[in-house]
Amino acid sequence: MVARLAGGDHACMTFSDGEERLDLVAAFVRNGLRHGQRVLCWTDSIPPDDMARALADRSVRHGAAMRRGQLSIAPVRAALLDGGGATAPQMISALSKEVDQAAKDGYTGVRITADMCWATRPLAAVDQLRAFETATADLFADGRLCLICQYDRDRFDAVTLAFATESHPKAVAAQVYFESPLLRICRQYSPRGVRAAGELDYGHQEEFEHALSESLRLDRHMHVNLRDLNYIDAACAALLLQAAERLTVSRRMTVVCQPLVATVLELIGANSVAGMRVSLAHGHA
Amino acid sequence: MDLRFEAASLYAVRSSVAAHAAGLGATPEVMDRVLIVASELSTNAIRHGGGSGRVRLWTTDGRIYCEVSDTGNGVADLDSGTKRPDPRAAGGRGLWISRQLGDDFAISSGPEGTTVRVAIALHDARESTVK
Repeated sequence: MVARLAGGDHACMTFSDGEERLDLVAAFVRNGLRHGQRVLCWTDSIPPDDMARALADRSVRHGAAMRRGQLSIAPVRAALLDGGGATAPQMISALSKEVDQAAKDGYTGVRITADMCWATRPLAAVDQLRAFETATADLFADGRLCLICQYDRDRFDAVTLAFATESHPKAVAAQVYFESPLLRICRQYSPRGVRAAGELDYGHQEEFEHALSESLRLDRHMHVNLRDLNYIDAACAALLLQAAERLTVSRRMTVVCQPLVATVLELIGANSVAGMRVSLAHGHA
Repeated sequence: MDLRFEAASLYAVRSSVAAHAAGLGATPEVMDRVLIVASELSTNAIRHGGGSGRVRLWTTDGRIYCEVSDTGNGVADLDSGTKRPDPRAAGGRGLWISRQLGDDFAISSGPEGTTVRVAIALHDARESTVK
């Protein structure tokens, strides 16, 4: 998973949910900053300012890191593609320059994450993307570079996605406990916890309980993101209270949700559970 | 609105109730209350009342009425749900929540089934006093 990536890794991140992508990118950036590496975040479908805000929302302190030159958030077209029409060798050379520059600036390594969405535009050369992904192997040999290429499953065709998965030695994706058109329960990486979207009722109690028990086991504080959850029934809401009751004194559970979910939680006694905090999502306060 | 349901149609119950309540001009807060009540009572019918039921929604005198009936074996204690269940309790929250969210609550039960009727003021009195 994203926390285990290290120098020398070239990973493919596929996603179909924008929030999930941002969670994974935030975890990748935070780990890099923590390890004293240079971190380059190359964006395409999301403007750099929005990416900075998304990182801040996920508790990544980007401001100071950007000021001291450790972190840079820039459009991928400028950083990798020389304005748009770069060939695969030019892209490789751009990456290799970044690796050398980071070493000159005293960093132990460089982490780069790039949105590959540019390759889906008309006139963009998908063949250059393929040549690039295939020819990068040498760059990773000395363990100084760690690269995650982001592939939006809704934007790329199945053939390119299959190629992307094959050409990357590692894959990064959110752990999904349940997924259907009406409900999605997955792990959240930044801040760590669980995310559920859609409608949740007793029919999927077991999957929700599984997700909560993993977070209870793995995370110091549990962040339960229910921003996009339109419905929760009392049976599933009670699972949140039961998980929060099992937290030791120094740990807490934070639930972010819509008013309906907050109403259900309040009625079944969320206020009486010491380690539990419920707050309304932006736009609902 | 008059809808028969079973385990697989809880989503349909919720979307019909939401659409119907919106059509009646309920505020978002009142809509949430109606939706929670209808869904919890329908869940009870599915889980404890024989596996299926019927939900009806109508308005009279500025109130939305939500009535859910099933043909199960009935509820042993008509006072159930008058106290908030412990967080660790396995169940019993549906009736508690419906009693809390309803401005009026009535339950009748026997060997031929259970009917619960909840009334919610269409324009929340608490809201209008604030305005």
